[in-house]
Amino acid sequence: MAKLSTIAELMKEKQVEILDAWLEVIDRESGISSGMQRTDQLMSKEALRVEVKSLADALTLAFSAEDYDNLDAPQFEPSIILLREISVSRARQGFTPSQTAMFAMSLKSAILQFMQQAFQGDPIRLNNETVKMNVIIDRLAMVTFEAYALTREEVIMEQSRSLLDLSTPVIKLWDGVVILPLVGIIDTPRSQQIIAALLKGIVDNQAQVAVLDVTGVPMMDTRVAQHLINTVDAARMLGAEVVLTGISADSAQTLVRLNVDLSSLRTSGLLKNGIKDALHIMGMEIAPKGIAS
Amino acid sequence: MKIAIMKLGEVLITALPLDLIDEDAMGFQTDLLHEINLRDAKGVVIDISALDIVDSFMARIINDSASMAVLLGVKVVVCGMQPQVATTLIEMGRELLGVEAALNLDLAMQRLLQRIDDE
Repeated sequence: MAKLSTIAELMKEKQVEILDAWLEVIDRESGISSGMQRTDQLMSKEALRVEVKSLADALTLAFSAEDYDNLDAPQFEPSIILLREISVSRARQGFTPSQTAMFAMSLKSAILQFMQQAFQGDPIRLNNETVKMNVIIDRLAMVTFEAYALTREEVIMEQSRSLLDLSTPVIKLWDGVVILPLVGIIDTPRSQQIIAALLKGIVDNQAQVAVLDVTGVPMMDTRVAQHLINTVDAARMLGAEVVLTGISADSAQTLVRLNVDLSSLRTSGLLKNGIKDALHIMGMEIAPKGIAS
Repeated sequence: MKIAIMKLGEVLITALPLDLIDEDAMGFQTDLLHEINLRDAKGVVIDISALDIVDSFMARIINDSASMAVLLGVKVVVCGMQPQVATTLIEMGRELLGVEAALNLDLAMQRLLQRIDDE
């Protein structure tokens, strides 16, 4: 076996073998976290190979410097940028954290076996290079993970924003009647948004009755009830009656056990009865054809 | 500045102006109660659609005026509250609940006349 002087030369010399070993490790490790999709289900083998190849090329360049254990050195910049991009795309594609971290970590076991072969005759050198390689790959894994976590947080923020935007439609049910179906958890920012949307809907539609439907609200407790009471009070101050509908049997039990007093509100279990109530307030009723007075 | 209190049939109609200061509001309260007795009114409509901001003092004046008028035996309806005013009052924990409310002057009159008729 020819003696190789640097890691960069080793990586150039054994490029294909290292790539294969790396891919093999990724493939082997990817199924470990049980219940999750394997890497090869989330992206094709070819795409993975292209990613690994471009990262290996960038790293080869970075390792050609003598002092390659400093991640802040400028020659590492392309590799870091590339790694961040890869992590960002993985976070969005739904890879697990361990799969993403493993992508960089698996280079370690892939390259160490080749280093062992290359520096066979020089145990001290082997030891030094192994320690350096360990440090640098651990750092690279940290970069990967940081980018992953950041992207996931962005995704969560985007989702909660879009939930806020989408989830408070005010629908005109009839002349003077609006309905506001509530879906999801009601917390303080959400309740403020609900109040604003309801009041705007009442004024825009000149509504005298608003039906507030909570069928889609999974949990009712004292705070949710207080938010609902506030909403109803706000609407009343504009001169609109509010009918609260869609209270489930579970919610009713919880509310009474918590000693929440909703007796100041008009409530009903079914949306159907709420609509009937609302129309009654407006002096109208739903009747079969031909019977309506 | 004096706030106009107009009589239409058995009902007194008044609108609070945008630039209402605290002293004027106090004066308005006294004037309104005097007018009610003087003109033998059966109902009062207070239009607050011009008010962009209602602080706790103003909220109390409106609330108290309404309760006082009710003591004199008239029906009171407040109308035209701006949405942002309602939001602020709810956030402050100060509510105008003793008072019957209506969306606009039309509905307020309708409601008031109906309640006067009911008696």
